[in-house]
Amino acid sequence: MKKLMILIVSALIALMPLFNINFNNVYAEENEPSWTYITDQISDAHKTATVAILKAYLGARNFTMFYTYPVEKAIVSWNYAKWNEIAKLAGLSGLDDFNNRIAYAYDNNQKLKFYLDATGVSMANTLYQAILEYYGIQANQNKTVYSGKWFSDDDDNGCYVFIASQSFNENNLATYNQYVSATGTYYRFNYSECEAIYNSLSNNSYNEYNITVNNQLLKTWYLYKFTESNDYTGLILNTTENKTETSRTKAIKWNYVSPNNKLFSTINGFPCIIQSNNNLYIGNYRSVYFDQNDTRYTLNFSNNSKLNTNSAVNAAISAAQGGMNAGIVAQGKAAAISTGKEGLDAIKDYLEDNDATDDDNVTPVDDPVQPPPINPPVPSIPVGIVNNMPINIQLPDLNDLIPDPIQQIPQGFTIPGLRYKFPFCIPFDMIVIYEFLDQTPQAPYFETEINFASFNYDLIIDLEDYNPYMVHIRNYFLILYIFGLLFITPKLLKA
Amino acid sequence: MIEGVGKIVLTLAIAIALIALLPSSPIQSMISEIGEIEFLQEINWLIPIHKIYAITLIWLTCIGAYYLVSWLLRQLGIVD
Repeated sequence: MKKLMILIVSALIALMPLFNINFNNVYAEENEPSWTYITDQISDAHKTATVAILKAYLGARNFTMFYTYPVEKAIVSWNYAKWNEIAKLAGLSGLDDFNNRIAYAYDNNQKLKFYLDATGVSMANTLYQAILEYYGIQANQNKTVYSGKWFSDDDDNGCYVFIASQSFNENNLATYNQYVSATGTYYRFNYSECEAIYNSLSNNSYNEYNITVNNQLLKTWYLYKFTESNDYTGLILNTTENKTETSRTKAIKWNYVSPNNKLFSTINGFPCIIQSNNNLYIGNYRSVYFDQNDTRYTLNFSNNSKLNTNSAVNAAISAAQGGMNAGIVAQGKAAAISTGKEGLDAIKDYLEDNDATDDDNVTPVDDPVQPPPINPPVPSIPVGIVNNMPINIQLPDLNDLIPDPIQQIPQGFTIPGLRYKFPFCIPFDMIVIYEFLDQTPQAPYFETEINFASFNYDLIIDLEDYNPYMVHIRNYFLILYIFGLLFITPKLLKA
Repeated sequence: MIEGVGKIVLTLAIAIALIALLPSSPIQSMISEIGEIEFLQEINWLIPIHKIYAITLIWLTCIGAYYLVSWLLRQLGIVD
């Protein structure tokens, strides 16, 4: 019997190369989106809207796969949490509101699919507007699409921007100011100060702002005055890597100034860096908008929808290369990316290999791509030009992004079909089980109605607020489990 | 020469026939029948089952490797 066991175990070990499970996923970022389809048979508006949505998240580097698929409708697929963010980015109260306007279904991997069909035209346009504004594209400042979702600034002194060393609670500005003053440098400019900076700078020059914490220089930001034309001039916030960047679809953007020196658009969030327990976190605060009438608005992005610009990613990478653990955290509830140096190296490699938000290359619209379901040859999808601002997405190589463990088995190593036959199927079964269990953690959400006499109450239990804590609890749970294995292993081996 | 090739072909034919007689994977069909488990995402939110599963696989592999090496060493007479 013991020999039989040894034989079985040996056979399993011999077959281990077939496992090929991506164990990196054990420590992979949670809430990872699934994949996306975009059809070529939909209207350009739909496609553009969908691609624009993707662009925001291409910038966020939070997607894994993206390719076209010959289906009748546009299908965009992400997990629940990511779509919830998108819905909020569009000024909706959440996914439920979103669902009322777009059809959805589950795919085979239990991921939500959303259909931007005819009933979703307005929604798609709304999302498109949201994304364009998110990227600071001037032509799409139609505030009406955000009816009721614009908030005035809580500082009546005008536009203010932080270049700070600490993240802070947006609901407690005083605490933040006090905290920042005590621990690190920060800069804050209101409307007139922004205007003064603009006026003091000559064209195509910049001011330099050093951010230090505990007398240690963390980062240097540059306020660059660009003047490409009378209609396109202003201040832009850049990083050391690219001090004179003027692209509004790149990096941190800030404070465009109209010809009459009125700030008409302040896009994207404020870069905030927080150092805690030897971890360096980089994120943005929120966006402030000005319209042509000098009326001030703040688009208060919820959760982490506003984060993860390239600059933030690059800054995090730079920080990690400096020997610190770095991550990009969200304002408020969710964390977007939290990883160590290795993870950031991977991000950097990814950025270098797939410069998805590089808008320098405008590819003309060619023949629509009709890829097969697997390994479609889709190098890029051009989505047009808005107000002379090119939007182009360089799609990643799907061969690199579709981790089909079975396909990755070396050719000739196995007989086709053998993986479906017992007992040779055992390693593959384990892969299937793993993929089956590998579901994105989702905070429990219960909603029920309590009716008692004249008392009617909607009881909603939403544990999403505990997401940041649950990540740690899950990690502790894993550590405990590993310790448990450590304890039982000697007993097992002695037997 | 021809006889040798014939033996190889015969062996392969027998092997393929035997493989065809083997039962199909019960797990993969069962998983596809199950489709999806309700609240699995919520369970993963509380307890990272998929990660535990992956770690367990790694652990079992290590245990298996230990037994394999022990068995080999015993066969070679290096250890008792």
